[in-house]
Amino acid sequence: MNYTLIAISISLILLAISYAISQSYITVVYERPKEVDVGICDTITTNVAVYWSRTLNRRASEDFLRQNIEVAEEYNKGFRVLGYEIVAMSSYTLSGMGYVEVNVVYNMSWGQHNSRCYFYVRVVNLTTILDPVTGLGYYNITIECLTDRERPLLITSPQEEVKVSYAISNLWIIIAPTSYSSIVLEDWRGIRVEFRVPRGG
Amino acid sequence: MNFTLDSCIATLILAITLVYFTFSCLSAIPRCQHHYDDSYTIIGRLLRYYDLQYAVYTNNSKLVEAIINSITFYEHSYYLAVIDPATNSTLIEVGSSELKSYCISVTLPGWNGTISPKTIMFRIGVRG
Repeated sequence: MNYTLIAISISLILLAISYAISQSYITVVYERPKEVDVGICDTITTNVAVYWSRTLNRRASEDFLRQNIEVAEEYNKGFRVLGYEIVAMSSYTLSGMGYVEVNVVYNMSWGQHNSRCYFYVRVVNLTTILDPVTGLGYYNITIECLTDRERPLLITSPQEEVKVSYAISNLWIIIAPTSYSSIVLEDWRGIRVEFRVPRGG
Repeated sequence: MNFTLDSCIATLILAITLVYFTFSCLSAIPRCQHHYDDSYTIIGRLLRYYDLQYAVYTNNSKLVEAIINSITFYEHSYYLAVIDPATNSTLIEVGSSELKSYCISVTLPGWNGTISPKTIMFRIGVRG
């Protein structure tokens, strides 16, 4: 019986050790950080802002927003928009100023994200120059640009004869024929802004 | 005979306990998973500036490399692939494909006012 008692004692010790080891097992949980969801939401808002700036159709833009969310939810496992609200979907074409904004609040499982996308252009200076060779008149317009992502990476114009070049900081220079009454600009995301050339320029 | 029976019972008890002990120890050993969870965070932050989307949708692999190199530590390696989920074709592939760290995927719904899903596969880890 001595051997049995020794074996039971050893068994009890081993059971205690195995219990202690199983309790110290570390479970590693990989969390999906909210940065990804924020990035996807901002991408959606920007895409909608591009669509809105080109169509200026509110209903179509709202449908486009819904489609974007559906596609994002379909392909991104873990990305779920519980609800959303369009705070602003606006576009202004004024004399010497143009502005496009889309602002959407997304309700996510981790909280709320206010995603704002805008492109603002303001004329700072305007002079008229005359080409001595062709005799054609041109506007030399200095504009100030502002976006929700600091200064624009790139600005172009879909109008063929309008030339846009970078000056300094968030200032850009536009050369456009004087026959143009309004200028259309497009930033690197594709958001289009239109402003009217100020009178007497 | 008594000693023999005693030793047999003791051996049986020890054998059962040892088998249980071995199984419990093996199940308690954590599985080795090389995982660099910052991949999600890095991609999320890159998406906010819209430079990556511009590079991805214009198929500019050099710009993708420049953008990622600008935010990663020089001793880190990365791998990024852009896949078209509609055709399952790889459009862009940059970085080291030898990395064994956890690979994340993020699908962008579209760009430039269009619906055009593109999946970004990304992993980052320490070189070596």
